[in-house]
Amino acid sequence: MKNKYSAFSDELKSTAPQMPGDMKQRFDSTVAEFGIKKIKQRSPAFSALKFAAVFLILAFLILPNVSTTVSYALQEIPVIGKIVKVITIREKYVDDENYFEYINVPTLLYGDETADSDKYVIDYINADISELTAAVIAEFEEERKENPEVYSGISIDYEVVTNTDTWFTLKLILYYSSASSDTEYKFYHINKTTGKPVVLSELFENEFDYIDVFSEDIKNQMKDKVAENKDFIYWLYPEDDYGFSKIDENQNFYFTDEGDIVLVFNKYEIAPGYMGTPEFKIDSEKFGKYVR
Amino acid sequence: MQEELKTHWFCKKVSEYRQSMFVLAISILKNETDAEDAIQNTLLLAYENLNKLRITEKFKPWLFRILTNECYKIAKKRTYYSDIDEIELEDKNDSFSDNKALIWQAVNSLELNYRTVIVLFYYEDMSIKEIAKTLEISQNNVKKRLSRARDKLKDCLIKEEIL
Repeated sequence: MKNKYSAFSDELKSTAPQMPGDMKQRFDSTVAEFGIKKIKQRSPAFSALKFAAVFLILAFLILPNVSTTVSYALQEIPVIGKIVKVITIREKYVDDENYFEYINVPTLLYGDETADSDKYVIDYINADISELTAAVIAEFEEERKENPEVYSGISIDYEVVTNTDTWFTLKLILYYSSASSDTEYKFYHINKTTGKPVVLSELFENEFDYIDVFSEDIKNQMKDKVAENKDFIYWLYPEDDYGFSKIDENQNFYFTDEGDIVLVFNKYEIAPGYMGTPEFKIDSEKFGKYVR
Repeated sequence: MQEELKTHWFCKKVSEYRQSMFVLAISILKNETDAEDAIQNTLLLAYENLNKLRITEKFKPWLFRILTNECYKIAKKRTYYSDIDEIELEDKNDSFSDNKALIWQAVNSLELNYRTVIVLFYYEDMSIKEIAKTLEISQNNVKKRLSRARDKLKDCLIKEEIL
């Protein structure tokens, strides 16, 4: 049916009313405002980097079609207490019409005061980060070679969630987007008092069944959230064959400033994609006395 | 950082559709001021509700659905008719009515519902399925409207030797 009318269609397109110049400017400026609003909401932990970040984001907005590649710029995050320094070792920003790459791979540095016996911890974490990010990047580049016409993107970034006298937490954020998008987090923790890396399964005394206690708490929270908001969906076993029944023994987590634990799930781990990366906070009074 | 990427993606997509949004809005509302209001409202609403966009859902019909609804809201305010089918909007003096292209004048003279589907199908190249999603009506309904719109346009198009 359309073929008969293709001349009509072409004619419509070539003589269509055009958005006037001043309206275009107002449109563009509204759109630009969205980017700037987001910058103002960034967490205070990044105050040292805010200026650099603002510049980067604005650069993206102002020059959307320019490919920018920056290699090996160093951004140091000032630290307090027993020193763990984190710097970005691999940095790449590409914003092309067919794909984007936004890569900030962190690495931990020994501080001046890091005991030799503690250095292995930092080496261990760096090796893991290096392996994981290399694998993700390689997979992305493979995908692009196979399907160059599909718009896709990858982002690797990180956040130093905690860096106090006693505790260090680094959050690695891996984001991939093609027809749909995928987000994964990996948390690395160092207990500075013991100098050891920490995973969830080693946090508590043996007699405390943290898996059970936390899983039940999460299920209750899910029920509450679903009751409050009819758009919310979580996959729960047994209604869902692959639904959530228990947390993983080394489920992703981090501590809040108040000492509560937040359990973090990757996108698609326990809920559909639009639910994002669900997090559930567990009150410290539920586990506080069992922490080793 | 993720949020910034999402924002960046949103800004980029929405900018791609700037001209399209204008053509649709002005076809429905027939004047620039109202069209701009509808577009600005749409930008804000779309940004605020971005999290509601399902992963499998296409951005364009979703965006255009918001825009169409905003246009209809404004159109209703400007007339006494509560039934959208009865809304007849007058041309105001601006670049839209100045558009000498007879083909757009012909489209402009159609009823609101017909104008909308013509623009979405022949200018935006949207599929019947996408148009149904945008207008929140059935695919059959879309086809019916298109077919009637074409009938109305036929005389004009023949005269213009386009058909």
